[in-house]
Amino acid sequence: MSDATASSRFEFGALTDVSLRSVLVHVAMYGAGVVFLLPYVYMVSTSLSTKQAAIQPGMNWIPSPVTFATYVRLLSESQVVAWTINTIVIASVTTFLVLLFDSMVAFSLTRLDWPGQRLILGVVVASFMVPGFVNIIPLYTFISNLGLLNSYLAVIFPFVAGPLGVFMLVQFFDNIPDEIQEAARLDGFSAFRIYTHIVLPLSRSILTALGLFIFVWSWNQFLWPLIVLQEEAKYTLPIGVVIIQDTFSFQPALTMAGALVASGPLFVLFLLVQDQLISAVEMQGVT
Amino acid sequence: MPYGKRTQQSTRRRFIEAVGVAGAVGLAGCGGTSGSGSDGEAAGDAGGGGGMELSYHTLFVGGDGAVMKSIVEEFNETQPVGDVTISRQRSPWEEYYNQLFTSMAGGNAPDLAISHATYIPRFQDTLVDISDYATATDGYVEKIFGACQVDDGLYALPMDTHPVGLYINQDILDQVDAEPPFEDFAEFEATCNAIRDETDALPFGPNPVDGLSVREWYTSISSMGGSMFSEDNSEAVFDQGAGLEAAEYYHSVSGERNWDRADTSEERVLQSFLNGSVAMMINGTWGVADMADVDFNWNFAPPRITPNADRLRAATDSHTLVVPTQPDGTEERYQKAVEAAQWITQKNPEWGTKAGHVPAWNPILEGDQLQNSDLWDQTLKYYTDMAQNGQLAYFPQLSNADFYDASNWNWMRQMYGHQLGPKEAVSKGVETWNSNL
Amino acid sequence: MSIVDHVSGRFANLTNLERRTSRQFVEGMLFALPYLVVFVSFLLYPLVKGGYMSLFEWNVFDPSASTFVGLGNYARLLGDPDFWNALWNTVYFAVLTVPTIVLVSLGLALGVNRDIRGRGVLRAIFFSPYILTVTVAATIWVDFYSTQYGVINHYLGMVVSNPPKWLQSQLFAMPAISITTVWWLVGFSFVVLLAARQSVPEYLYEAAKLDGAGTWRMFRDVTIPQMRYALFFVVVVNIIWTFQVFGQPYVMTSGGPGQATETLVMYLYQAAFNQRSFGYAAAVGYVLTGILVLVSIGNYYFIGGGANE
Repeated sequence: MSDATASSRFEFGALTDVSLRSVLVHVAMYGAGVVFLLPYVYMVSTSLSTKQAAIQPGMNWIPSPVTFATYVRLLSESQVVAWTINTIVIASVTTFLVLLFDSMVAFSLTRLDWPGQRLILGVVVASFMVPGFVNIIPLYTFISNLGLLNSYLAVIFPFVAGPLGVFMLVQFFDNIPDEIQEAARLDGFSAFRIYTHIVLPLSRSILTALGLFIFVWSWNQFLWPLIVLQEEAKYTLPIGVVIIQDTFSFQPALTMAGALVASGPLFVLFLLVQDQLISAVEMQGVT
Repeated sequence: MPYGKRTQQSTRRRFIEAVGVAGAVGLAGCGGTSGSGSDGEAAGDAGGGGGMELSYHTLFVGGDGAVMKSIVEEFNETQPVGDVTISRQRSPWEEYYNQLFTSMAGGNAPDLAISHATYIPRFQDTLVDISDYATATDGYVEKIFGACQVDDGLYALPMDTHPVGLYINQDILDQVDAEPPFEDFAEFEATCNAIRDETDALPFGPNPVDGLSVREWYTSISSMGGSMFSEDNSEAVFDQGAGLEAAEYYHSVSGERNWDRADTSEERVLQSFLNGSVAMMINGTWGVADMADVDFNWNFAPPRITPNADRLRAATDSHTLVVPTQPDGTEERYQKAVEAAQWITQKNPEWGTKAGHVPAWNPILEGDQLQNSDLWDQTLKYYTDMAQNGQLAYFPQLSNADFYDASNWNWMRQMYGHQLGPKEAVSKGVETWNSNL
Repeated sequence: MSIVDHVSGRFANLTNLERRTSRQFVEGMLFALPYLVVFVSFLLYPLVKGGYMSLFEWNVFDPSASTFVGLGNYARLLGDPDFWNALWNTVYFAVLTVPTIVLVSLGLALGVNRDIRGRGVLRAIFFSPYILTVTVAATIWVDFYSTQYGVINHYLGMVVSNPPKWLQSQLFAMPAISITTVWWLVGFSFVVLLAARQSVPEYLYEAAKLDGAGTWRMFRDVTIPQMRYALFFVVVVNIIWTFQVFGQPYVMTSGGPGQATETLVMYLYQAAFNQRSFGYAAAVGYVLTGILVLVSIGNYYFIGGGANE
């Protein structure tokens, strides 16, 4: 209530200032939007071109004729369905486990109080700085010894071990005011209830964001799944898409079509989650 | 915030469900099939159950991949070496060798794998010496077979050789009345100059992918009788003699001669060739895949592109089949793998007729099927000719460096793009290679 | 006395404080356990094993035949000019990219936060490059930077007579990769900063306005301090990512021209897969990690100081 009157008073008071600034902001944002979109337009337009048209000199933003032949080829000449299923399973399970495990450990490290937690937090955060390649050989041998090679778990577990989620959640859980937790303790809440009834609901927006990021990240991984999956039917989309491309034949349309197919589902997911993200964030902003 | 009992129960239920799902997925994951070394059920490309299943890793994708797929399918249907099926696996070339390497390091190597001949010494320690298992090897082309033999042992069976040659846009050449094949460099030079002066097109782009690469340069070095490395491959020696001359020549191609731009953007020459703005380029046997639907008349000729060349040479490599050692490998298994490899390399002319490579097995090489194929008149007859006349120049087989790794050839691109002069570039190149060797 | 009696007797002997502490420890550990198990097995253990490997001339195929070299690998890398070149390139790349990403994402977040029409669409546009695999993003931009056929030079060529050969020029190659990286990664920081901006309470801005603060003062005294945690997080994450850059230069330039875009992780990759010196590669990895730890600590002191209060 008072918010509305206050802001409208402000707007009224400096109308011309706001208009000019508003125009500039609009221009800047839309301009940035166009620049950001260009690569996509290129991608889509190339993938819908015929092979011939794709290699002509000059810029042809709108392909003529528009052809879906490349996509048909993509779908019929490959195990795209299997790859999509694999990728979805791996990404979903990884995301679920990360949200669950990372929120639990972040909760434990920030909201609870026990000896040794500083050390553990330090180690986890430090591990964030380790480049993945260092671990490849020992990790591969370890997984092979466990007999997990060529299974979904071989891909999922190393992903879940990543500390990004812990890092992110620790930052945000730390931000939760102590008073809420103390009040709950006085009400006789166990740690578990505090976790499920206070911390988790308050963190909906960050958890959604983290979930989206992890899903996208694990979907897009290329090198590790390639090394650890040994069967074409088990490959994920990023790998499969490269398989189709002829290493020595120049097929820009096919490359772009493959890229679209491999990223399309993620984009759809983002559009779906985006709404939820907004409402969760807005809710948090207002309370 | 609702604190009621109902919320608590649903939370607990959700938690239990979640654990159940994770457990189920875990069990499903543990059932992962098709490790190597298992005599279990067939999967993937294989036919029914029982019998031995060999895992086979390849780097063939696209057109080559389709041909190899049908070869493996035929093997699994006809089962020519007993109750054995093959489960084929393909990876993109860039990562193929790393994947193979890690699988060997982890004790999970496949039963059969493709390896370029160049890489055989690099993997030698992990390959089985198959001299005892390979019984029917008399028909392989001698030079190619020689590349599979290292230190008195036999480590691979050759499948093909894939040299480079000159791909030509005949429509452009018609404009200057040129008729390949070229007798010598002088004719090539005259044609290029004519194209440059009288048409809109650029005459010659050496390499389709990045302007200039090792294939053309090595072709030229060999055509002048020189070499890249010392006899024992311990030192790079190309900063003088033929190596330097070849570098200077290519520097001039994108420089004084004006036959091409000094631009090493990726795929530029291939794109230009396909859309008709570059007349000639050097490409390998696989180049036919690109030619399938061009809208101009194309032609092919052996690569007489080097000044001061006293012989014709074409740089080449081979695809071979190797048998990695297994921690629990049995003689029986190795035997079957070798027999399968023999069948693949000796009984499948379509590797030549459809994929366009030059077979390494003489009966096919000299046989009718090859000569009756569509590709024979277009490219295969020239390639075969060169193979049979000993005009192929094999890449050096280095045991401790990755010959194809792009970062080893950055200096070459800089030279072609005119950021470095030829002398500077080759000395930089020698430095790079000596630090590798 | 039975075991149960013995144990419960022991428990009864602890003071209240000790009992509470040990229960807290158990509680804390229970929550932390699932993650820690996975973390220790699949990250920490290989990491430590890697550290062990870095002390050897590691023989991948026959580990028992590896030769112990102590700190030899580390000495070797300190003396290798290629290492220093890679380090310099990586720092250069980080200096180009991190401030750009942070500033651009902050600008976009603040811009989208305003009452602007079509903000849902804009939000989607700015975030979406992040969902592409690195190879896809890099491949598209390689096409864009192509000297003859690329979009950039096509339009630039209408204005400038000799547009640069982006990925082949010593001067422009790294900035070109940096631009690609900004386009690709800004979405992540953008969403984080947007969420943070939207959780800054409105009344703070109103109070500032009542105090007569202009836009700049509000930005400096309300927005930035309130977004401290998020900013710190974004800066650190981007530093860590840029120091580990691999995919973009690998696909776009193979470390060229010359070695101008060869980064530390590329150098590591070469050592591991090209030269097959896994011990040496592990040493490089450890040095890189050490650098990042130092950078993060420095970062904490200069930017994040007080962020965790």
